[in-house]
Amino acid sequence: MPDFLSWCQWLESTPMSATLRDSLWLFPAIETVHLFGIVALVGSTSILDLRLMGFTLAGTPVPKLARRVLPWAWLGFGIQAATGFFLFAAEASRVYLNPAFRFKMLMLVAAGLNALLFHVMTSRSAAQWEGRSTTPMSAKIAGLSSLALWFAIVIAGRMIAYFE
Amino acid sequence: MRLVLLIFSFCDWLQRTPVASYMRASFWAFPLVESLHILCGNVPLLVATSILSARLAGWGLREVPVSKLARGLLPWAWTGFLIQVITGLLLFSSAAAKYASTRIFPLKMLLILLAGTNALIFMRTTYRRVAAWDTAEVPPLGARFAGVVSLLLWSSVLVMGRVLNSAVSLVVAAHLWFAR
Repeated sequence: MPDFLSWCQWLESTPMSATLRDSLWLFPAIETVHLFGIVALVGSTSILDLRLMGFTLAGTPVPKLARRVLPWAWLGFGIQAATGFFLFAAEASRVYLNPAFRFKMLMLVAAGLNALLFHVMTSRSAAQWEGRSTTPMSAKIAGLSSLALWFAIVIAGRMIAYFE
Repeated sequence: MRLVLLIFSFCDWLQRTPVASYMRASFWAFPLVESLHILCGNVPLLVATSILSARLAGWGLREVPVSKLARGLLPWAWTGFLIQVITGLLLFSSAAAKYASTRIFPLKMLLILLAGTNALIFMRTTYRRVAAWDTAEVPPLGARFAGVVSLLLWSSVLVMGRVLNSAVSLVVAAHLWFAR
């Protein structure tokens, strides 16, 4: 087990982290970009999730929608990872010990696994999906899990500010 | 002057309501409502208006007729907006006078009003004749203008929301610091 806590202490002692803490506007500015990242990431994945669950866009084939939506999801994820790192760096050891942060990271891993599992499961049968408006039960479950996980991730993210 | 008094007496009444006390007293209420403000409000509103704006500006989804896209997206924008208003009012109620006394709050409300006016003018003018340019890859100037303005205004509203949160947190932090 690597010593994450001492790495966190080193990280928050860097001049970069000190700048993040000392500036009045830098932290809220990065938080704002993080918020735009949520809109891109959660917005694009939710469109796909709702389609998988059969709630919307029945006329658009799932693979076509996925091709349109996933670049935005990845863009959003990139923004989230980059801005999230800076937000973390400002108070690394406090955040590392924060229960909401730990829950968030766990849910992030679960969301990643859910997406990976669904991708592996469906990529083989993608040809059969083309032109079909209804989705199989596995797709409905994957969509619902993804939606629930991203909601949990955003709520947990907000809770980091409220837990000591 | 009378208007200012009216607004602050409303704020005073609002923050004394049981709902407002609950928003302050509960550990979970404020962050949960805040999360819903983002998840069920910001996300659908900003995603729906941005997609439509991009189509109006001629940046994307050029093969989709504008009216078809609008019919699909506007219910999501309205639902998002409604959730924003309800959750926003709950957040506001927790410290109404404090929010109202910041410079950011009136600015945010003004930006929302402008975004609404922009949409209304667009719907009453250029969109009336949508049949003539529904499938045009690049819509007419009026539509492109409305699209870009909408994108800028709703993005600014999001930024103002974040700044408002920081501004009030700073005020509260200062109060706590002086009260030590």
